Amino acid sequence: MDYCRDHYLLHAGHQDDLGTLAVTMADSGILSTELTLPASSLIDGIDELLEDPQLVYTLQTNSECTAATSTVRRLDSTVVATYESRCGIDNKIGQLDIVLFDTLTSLDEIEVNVVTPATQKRFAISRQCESAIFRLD
Amino acid sequence: MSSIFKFFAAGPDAPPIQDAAEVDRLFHHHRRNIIFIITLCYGLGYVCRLAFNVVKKPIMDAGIFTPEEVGFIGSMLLYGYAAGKFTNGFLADYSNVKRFFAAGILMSALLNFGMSLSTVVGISAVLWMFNGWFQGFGAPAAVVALASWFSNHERGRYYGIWSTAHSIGEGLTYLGIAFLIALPPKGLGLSWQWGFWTPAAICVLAAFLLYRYLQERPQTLGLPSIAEWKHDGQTVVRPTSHNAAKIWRDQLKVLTIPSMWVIAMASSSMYITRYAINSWGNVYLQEIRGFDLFDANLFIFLNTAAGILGCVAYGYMSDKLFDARRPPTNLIFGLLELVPLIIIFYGPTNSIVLAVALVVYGFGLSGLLASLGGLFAIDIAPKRVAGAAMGFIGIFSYLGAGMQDYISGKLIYDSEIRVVFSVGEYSPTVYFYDYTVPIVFWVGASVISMVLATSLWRAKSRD
Repeated sequence: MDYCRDHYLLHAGHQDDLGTLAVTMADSGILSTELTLPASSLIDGIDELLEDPQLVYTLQTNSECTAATSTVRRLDSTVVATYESRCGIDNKIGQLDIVLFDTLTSLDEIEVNVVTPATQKRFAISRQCESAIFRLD
Repeated sequence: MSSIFKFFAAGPDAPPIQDAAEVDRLFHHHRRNIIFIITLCYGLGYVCRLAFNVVKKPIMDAGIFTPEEVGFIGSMLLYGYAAGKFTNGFLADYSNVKRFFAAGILMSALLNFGMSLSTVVGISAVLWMFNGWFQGFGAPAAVVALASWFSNHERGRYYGIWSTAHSIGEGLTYLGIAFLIALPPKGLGLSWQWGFWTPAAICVLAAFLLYRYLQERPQTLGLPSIAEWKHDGQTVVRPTSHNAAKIWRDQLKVLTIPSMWVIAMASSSMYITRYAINSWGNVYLQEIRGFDLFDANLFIFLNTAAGILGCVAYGYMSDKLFDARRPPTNLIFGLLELVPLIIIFYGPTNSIVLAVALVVYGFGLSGLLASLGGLFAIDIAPKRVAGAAMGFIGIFSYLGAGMQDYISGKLIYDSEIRVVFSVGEYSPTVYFYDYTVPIVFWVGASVISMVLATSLWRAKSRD
């Protein structure tokens, strides 16, 4: 079985152990991000790491966005980090670079949900796979 | 070089057959074969034109080409096709249509194979442009065959039957090729290259069938002209060396008929919508509506399947209900195309509503395609230059379609948002697009087409 190609056969079995990343780009030009990491992904000093949005994502836009705000909190055995960047209505977001895997070297896979004003996509990113995995079920 | 021209040149008239029963038998036999073979093979040949549409998203997702590059490559086919329809429309009037048609399809097969090897935008664009040019051999050759073997008062029906070829080809592509590429369990999950290899094989088969079964004009078999045989008031004079100059003058006269220009503009606008849905519809359904590749192409297939009925219904309705007048039928089918189009993009997001709207849209559009894409132009043009009339309309239609493909790709690309993950040695990238502006472009073109087509309310057909 090919881990990446046949991932839909495996995903349900390990889904509960995965971290999630939810990104919402609103018409108003606000980018909201919520990262949830389960206990198995946690490393020493993770709270401090996640407080720096630059270690989670960076943005490429036509003009500067406001500095991202961040909140990191513990919820049972998980860490929930939320971020918000205000880019303005006419300031098009061209690219969102997620550097989370570089920051958390123990992170193997994450489930991602991205909502833009036009559409929504849910997929997984795994260290073992060259491309995003869209077929999860 | 002269042997090539000789190979493709129209054959001389054979000595007339005097036995009336034999004439009848041969006409019945060949007419049945010809309508079947030009419909089947034009449909099969269509797969070599459309397969790129099915693999667009896998190619974009793999980061091989951006939407703008995909649109650029797609537009090159349509420009090549426009040029091909124009030049080949004129050439078809002088050629042995069976050899001409078969050669075009065979070259198209080779170019599809070439596409499977290219990941360089410039090379793909050139290959796809030549594919368009060779694809342009088919329609004029088929129309010349229709004009040679079917009379004025039955041409609407037979043209309608032949026009179902578009839908057969589109169906084969959007269902068959999509099945090969879609992920299991809905498809075989083959690589995007199979989206070119399979059409190439299909087109080789079509070329063989054409070469084997298509016939030149009746006179080359010793038969009278179709007008004489059907007593239908037309005289089709096929070009030979001694009347070529006169035919060329008549061909140029096509350009002096104002109604032809209006039809050309209406057809061009209609082709913007048609190719927008065919080229980008399945990508839109995947990107914005969240359908997978197979389901998205299945929806597009529904529109093309309904098109089979639309073509036939258009021909029948305009011939029988409106005494071969096309404008009233154009208005009816224009509304049947436009209203569901609005529902598709701005209506409820329910899948059943989408499916029904696509079916009605496909029905309406294919009727218009049969009319504006050729039938209406053939009515208005002198019959001896039917190929040239088709060529004239074709070049406008495909210029519109080609501009559409690039403009749509550019508009879609302008809205692109990339989400790039840095994952060790990999950088998986997910692309997001907004179709709001392209949709306005596509629907707007449809409105313009309907208004122009209806404006020729008093246009009369010629013999």
